[in-house]
Amino acid sequence: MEEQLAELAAQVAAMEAKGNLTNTMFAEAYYYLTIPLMIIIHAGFLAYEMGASRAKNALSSGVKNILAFAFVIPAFYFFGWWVYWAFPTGFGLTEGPNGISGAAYAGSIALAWGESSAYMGPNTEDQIDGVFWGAFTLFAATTASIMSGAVIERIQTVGFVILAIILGGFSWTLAAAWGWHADGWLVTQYGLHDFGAAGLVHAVAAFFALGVLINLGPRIGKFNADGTANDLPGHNMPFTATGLMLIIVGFWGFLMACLVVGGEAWSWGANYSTIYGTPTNLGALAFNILMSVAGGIIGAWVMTRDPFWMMSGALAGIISCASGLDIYYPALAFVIAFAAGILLKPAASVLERMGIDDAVGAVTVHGTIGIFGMLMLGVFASGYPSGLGEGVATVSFMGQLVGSVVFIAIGLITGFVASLILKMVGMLRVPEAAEIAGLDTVKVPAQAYPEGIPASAPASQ
Amino acid sequence: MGFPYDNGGTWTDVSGPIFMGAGTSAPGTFAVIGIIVCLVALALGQRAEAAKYSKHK
Repeated sequence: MEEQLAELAAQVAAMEAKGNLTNTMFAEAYYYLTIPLMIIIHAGFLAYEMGASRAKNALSSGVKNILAFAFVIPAFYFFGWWVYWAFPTGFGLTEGPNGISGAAYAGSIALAWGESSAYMGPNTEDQIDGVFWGAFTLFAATTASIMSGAVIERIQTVGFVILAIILGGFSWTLAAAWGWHADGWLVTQYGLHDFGAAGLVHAVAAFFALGVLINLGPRIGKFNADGTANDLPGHNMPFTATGLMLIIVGFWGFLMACLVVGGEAWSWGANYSTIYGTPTNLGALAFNILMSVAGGIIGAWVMTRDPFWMMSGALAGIISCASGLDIYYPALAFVIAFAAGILLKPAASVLERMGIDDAVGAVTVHGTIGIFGMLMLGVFASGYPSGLGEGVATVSFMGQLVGSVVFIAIGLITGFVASLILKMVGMLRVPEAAEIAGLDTVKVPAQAYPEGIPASAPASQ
Repeated sequence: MGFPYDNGGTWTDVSGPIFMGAGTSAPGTFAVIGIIVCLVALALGQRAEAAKYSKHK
């Protein structure tokens, strides 16, 4: 009898070990797959920006976008990941209540040298840090792409790459440490809830871009002497609209990566949760992302009838609901997203009347709508616990407002100061003659359309 | 650098970091080289870009 019991216990233990390994491999594969999905965001931004550029700048805009992607990755490897784990409690770099933050903790898992390098490379005992880092790196690269579209057709390439490194490696990462981490002070003290990063990715990147735009100035020909604006249409609207659709596809991966998979030592429990430890699942995302995409498109269609703004409306719909995709009722998400679609074009016009030349409406779509979404969550989700356990701070309008102000400040100040320094050393804006000639002609050793864009006649019947 | 485990050159019973240079100062050295590569690439890029602009002043 005892022998049989021992054998049974051994079999149960073996089954448990296999189950745990399967769960670990699922978690690893889950985050791994979010990485290529998020790269689709970059394919989208690439197409979007190139299409939104005039033909003389098409490839130059593409080069800039590709380089942002390439340089943000090592920047996030060398210091961005450390910033995320070191700063949650503030500039003191102290350890937070969950014991997963502060300089000492970050130094033990997130540096590419010393003992911590064990977690920053292939390791048979660590199947999660690589894929976590990969997903966060793509979040970082997304911030750079958001900024990238706003500044096309007149920014210097290397100056832009330096800005991308600062935004992707530090600015958004600081916001994420404060508002997207269980030890983040905005979460523990103000109950901030920004599940899908409407504020800490979208708004931070957009206000960073605004800070840059203030120093960069508008494209030649954008504004008349009396301050009225001219439309500088891109050379390929179908390319731009397709790019926007790719961005929307990629955002399914982005938002998927915002979930924490359950059942692991680092998880909050047996099932999916948010990064704050609060419950949610993929079903919540399916309901709310689709309804918010639809609401945004319809709102923008009602307001503009313009395919560019309709596709931007889809993005705005997602961003307006991103903070609460885990807890919104789908019909409410639809209404909020519809309102975002309505707001979009008038908000962009306000910015233009202020003399800001945001070539693709990035500040409006990601910034204004991101903050709108943060505040809407404060209105509708007030009273929700911000984390697990007793006595945690609750979501409130005031908490969301404080978070919004902090995110705007992080983006605007770092973007403005960094671009001002670049301007002072002559690395921000291209010379006037180069801008007029076209940046492809000036510095890209390839031609976007070597045979022009011929319109061939249809074959005869 | 070689195999990071001193166990007779076998994958049997290996667990932990398996990258080249694990447990040595190599990761830090490579990190420094990588950072320098980024900085030099930016410096060369800036020099080339400035040269292009100098023809379009």
